[in-house]
Amino acid sequence: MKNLLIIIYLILFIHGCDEQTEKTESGNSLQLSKAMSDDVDGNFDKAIEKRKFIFPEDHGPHPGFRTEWWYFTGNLTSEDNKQFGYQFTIFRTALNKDSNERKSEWSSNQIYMAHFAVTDISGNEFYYDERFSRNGNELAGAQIDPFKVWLEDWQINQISENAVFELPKLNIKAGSDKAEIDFDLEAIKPYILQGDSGLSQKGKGEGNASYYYSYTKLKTSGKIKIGEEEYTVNGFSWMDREWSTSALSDDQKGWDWFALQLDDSTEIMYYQMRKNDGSADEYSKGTIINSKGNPETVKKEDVICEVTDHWESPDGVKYPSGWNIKIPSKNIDLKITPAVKDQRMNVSVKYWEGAVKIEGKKNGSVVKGRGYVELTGY
Amino acid sequence: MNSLTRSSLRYLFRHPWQFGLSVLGIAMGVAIVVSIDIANYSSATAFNLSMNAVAGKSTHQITGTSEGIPDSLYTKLRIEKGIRNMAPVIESYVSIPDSGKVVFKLLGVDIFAEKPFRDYLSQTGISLEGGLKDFLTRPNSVLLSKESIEKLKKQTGDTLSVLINGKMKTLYLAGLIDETSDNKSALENLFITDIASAQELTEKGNKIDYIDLILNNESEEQTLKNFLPEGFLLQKSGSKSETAEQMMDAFNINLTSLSLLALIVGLFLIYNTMTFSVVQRKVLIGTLRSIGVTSNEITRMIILEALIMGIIGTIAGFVFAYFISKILIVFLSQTINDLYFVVSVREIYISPAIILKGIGLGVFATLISAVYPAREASKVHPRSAMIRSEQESSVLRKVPRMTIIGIAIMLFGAVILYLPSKNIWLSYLGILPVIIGFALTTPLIIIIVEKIFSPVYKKLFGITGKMASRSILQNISRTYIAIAALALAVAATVGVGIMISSFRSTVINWLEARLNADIFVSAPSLISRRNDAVLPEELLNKIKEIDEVEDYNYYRELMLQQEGKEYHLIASGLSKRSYSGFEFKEGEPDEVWKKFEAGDVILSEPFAFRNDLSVGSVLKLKTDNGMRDFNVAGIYYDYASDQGLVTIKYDQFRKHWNAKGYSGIAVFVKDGIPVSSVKDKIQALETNGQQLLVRTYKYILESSIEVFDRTFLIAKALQLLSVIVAFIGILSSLMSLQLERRRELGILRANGLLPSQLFKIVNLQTFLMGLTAGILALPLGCILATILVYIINKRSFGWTMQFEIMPSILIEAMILSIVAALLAGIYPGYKMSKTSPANALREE
Repeated sequence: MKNLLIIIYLILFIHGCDEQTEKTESGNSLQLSKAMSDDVDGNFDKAIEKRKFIFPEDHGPHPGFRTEWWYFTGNLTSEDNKQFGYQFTIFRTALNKDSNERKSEWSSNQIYMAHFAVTDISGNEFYYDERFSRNGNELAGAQIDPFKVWLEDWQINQISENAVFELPKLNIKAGSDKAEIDFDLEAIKPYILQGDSGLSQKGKGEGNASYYYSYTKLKTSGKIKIGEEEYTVNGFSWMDREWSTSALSDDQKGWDWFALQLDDSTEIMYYQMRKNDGSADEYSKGTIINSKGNPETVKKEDVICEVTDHWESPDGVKYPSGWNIKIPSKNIDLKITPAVKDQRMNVSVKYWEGAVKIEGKKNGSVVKGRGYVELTGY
Repeated sequence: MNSLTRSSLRYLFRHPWQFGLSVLGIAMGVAIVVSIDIANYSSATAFNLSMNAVAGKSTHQITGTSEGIPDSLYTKLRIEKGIRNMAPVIESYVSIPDSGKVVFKLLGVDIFAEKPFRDYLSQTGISLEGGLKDFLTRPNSVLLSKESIEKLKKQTGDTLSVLINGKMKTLYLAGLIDETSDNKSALENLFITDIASAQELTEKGNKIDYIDLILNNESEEQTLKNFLPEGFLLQKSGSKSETAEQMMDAFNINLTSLSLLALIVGLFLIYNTMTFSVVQRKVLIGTLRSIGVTSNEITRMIILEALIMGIIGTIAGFVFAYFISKILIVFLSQTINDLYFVVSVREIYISPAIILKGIGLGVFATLISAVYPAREASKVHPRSAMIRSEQESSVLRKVPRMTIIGIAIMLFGAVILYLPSKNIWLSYLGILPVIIGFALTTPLIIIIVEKIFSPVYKKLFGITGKMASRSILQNISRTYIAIAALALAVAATVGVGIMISSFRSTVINWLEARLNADIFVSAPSLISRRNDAVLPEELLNKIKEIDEVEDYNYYRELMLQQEGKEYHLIASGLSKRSYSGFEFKEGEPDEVWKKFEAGDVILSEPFAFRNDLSVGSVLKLKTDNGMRDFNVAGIYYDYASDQGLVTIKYDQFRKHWNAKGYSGIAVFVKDGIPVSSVKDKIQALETNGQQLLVRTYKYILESSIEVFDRTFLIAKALQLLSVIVAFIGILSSLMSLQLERRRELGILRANGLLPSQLFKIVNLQTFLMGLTAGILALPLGCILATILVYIINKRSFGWTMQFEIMPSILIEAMILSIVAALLAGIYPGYKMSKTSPANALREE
């Protein structure tokens, strides 16, 4: 469940809209959700029925679906105890399903976009960048064997023959003028299928859903470079894989999404779909993964999510900036605080996505943790 | 306003013809110079704008081998070298058969790489109405400006048939690019297409034309240079515009100087007018002086008058220039398209420099040419002003001195022209003293002509004839300037005429020798003197198989961009029989051909001239394997390109360059077989959609001459304009002359001279003036022609021409001179003959 908005933006970008694209997120999301739910060509595959996930094939691209992404976030600590967060995502969008045979190597019906961000928590700084490319002329693409997803030199590469929990060791690499990352990732918990056995319904109506699986804990080590300074870091990442053709319904405005890694080796994923009136949609839901890697679905009614603070962007968009999440049935009560207030991705479509700190109680004991939160549609 | 100014204004007001013609003369002089400047500047601006539209914000470009840049190099640079600010470009020209001869530029880009380069392509700049999806996924989709689509009478979603590299293709008009005032001209006649479509449309295979880059510093530049494989070049972005400017340089300078010639005629005219106005008012000035007006005040008065005329004339000149430049631009862009590159000039651009130059010429030149007359006026002695013959006798006294000074000045000009230099401006600077010196000898020639014609006139026309001829001499201070102005204008006609005809016959002789085949096959090209389209290699094999074909030549043209220069390379597969078509300026033919076959190059005369090369020199050329040295074996006469050509044997060419295909094939038909039957057979060959131009010797010869003639259309137009200026000049001086002689003629009338006799006198007089001007113009014209052929053209283009004086040009010039003078005399003559003697005799 990641950055749907951006994908929608891409679709608008491609399908066209003669109105000037509005600058505010809400302006976008309304128009774009329409574009998104509207399968113009009508021949893309849709996420309607449950399916069997097969690996390593499903790590690779699903060109029959309009959109897809490979999403990584993580919280890391350097040897001298500096804290960092990162986000790195490569998106794929198909312009149409059929790729007619053309002579030019450049011809392409797939567009790739990537977002990259580093949060220097100790330094209270946030760095981000964005890229676009076609998949023609090998500038961007995704393949299964060896597993590789790339947009120019921003790349996800398989670095081991053998797979653990169906996932080979990965190297991810990205950078901007100001910050660079180069990490090796290794799954230490099995993948989980989100939603109903991997079919994640996002809105009402058949097909407004995605196929969705996550690796909620990947051991991560490598280097972060900020300016001329290089840090050797260790920590944990979260990987999401999702593909779909349409997802949002007309009355949905955006979402708040939480990926929380607790230090007792529990992970919690929860997303709250917001309706136009700001209330939470019934399709909001989440998953709790215990230390053994077994998932358990939580429904909207199981979760109490309260906003405790706000942050306003320089251009006047007000975002929640602190939460209390309670899951009484599981005896969980967590206080979530952004690691840095301003972790807004000021890119083609603006959204807030950032590292968070977690403190609270689980079953009466104190727990801590780190995680990532994504806020769209504000 | 003081009484002196009033008197001055009243004078101007009372002589509206004289005033009007002077202003018109100034206006025409200014108009010609300014309109040429505008035409030059507009075409340069249009070209630069279209270049900028394409170059965008790039600082550098990577250009490839003769085949272009492989796609993989681009990806390698982006992924392995991590270069961010780079964008692939394919550039081509397309013509639209349904819309006359309209030519569009096709720009193939990768929209995802464009953002730093061409801002009109950023997402907000593109109206998405037509669908960006189509743009990317539908083959042959293009974006264009609203103005362009309206011009084509199409709508988004329509298709359009175009000719690209000689093949018909169908474009899909996917959408519009938003126009702003900034990019409007840049988007003119531009199709933007996806790089994939561009590759398919131009059939480039897996190659692109060049890569745009934004590099921030030298070290980035150096790193990239070191990384690039042999045959690839990193160069600054402006170099294309610079190359174009260099190409146009000599051409522009020559146009400008022709316009200056018109201005010199104009200056004579102004000088003439001001002198007249002083001479005419000598009595008035004398009176003013005697009532206490100082000589300084008189000077100021005359200068002020000149200023007024200069200002009005300049303003009018700009108005004329606007209209004249519109016509010139049509000629000029045709010539540029014929010779140099594709450009579409649809708007008039004026720079502050042009305006300043126009004002400078119109106002300040007028003032300067008024200085001498003003000084003369200030010197008028209150008493001597009453003596009418004073001025004339003083000029006559001065004749020997003027002649000697004139000859000295001419010699000085000759010395300047003789200086060994390539500087064109210096050459033109040398022409000026020749002209001025010649003008100073005018009085002597007038005296001689008068001495010869006075008895003849007397014999033929009696007393009226004698009176007519004598009065030229009596009024020599005024007549000589008018005659000199006319002579100069006619001489310019003669000079340019002889130069063009010499050039033309040189070119025809050369064409006849060089074009020794029967049939010429090429692909349709957008620039007449350059074949940018390429014929497939199989075509030659198919032509060889035709039984009636005896022999053939083939060649491949390639434009090499290197070190800010553009070299035109011809790889020639010459049959031995065609060797005789080359005449060498340097090098022994047998030896040259032997070396040529071994891999040496031969250079055309302009190329050797431009680049200071001679036999034995070494020429560095950018091959697909990097820079290579080539020995120069010979230098041949050639008039195909003023930029010059480098010719290499085709087999040798293929060792260094990968470019495939032929630019042209020439076919020799077996004896006794009709050329047309072979032409039809070639035309009928299967070419996989490639359109062929199959033309006979006769057609090529004629169309080459046609292009040549088009090139000189502007020169001819300018010639005509300077004759008009001269005509105005002579009209103006005759008007003044006749008006000034009111009293004299009034007395004659009072003594019984009939109006018809008076009219006759005037006409006889103008005939003689025209004849004198013609007699002066012929030698001066020949001198100018000599300078143009042997110095100016040689220094501008490096061409050797046969000098040829066509008698018809001289006869025409003489007729022109006399007719212009006669025409100019009709109205003043008529007017004088109608004036009643009483009015004419009345003092003002």
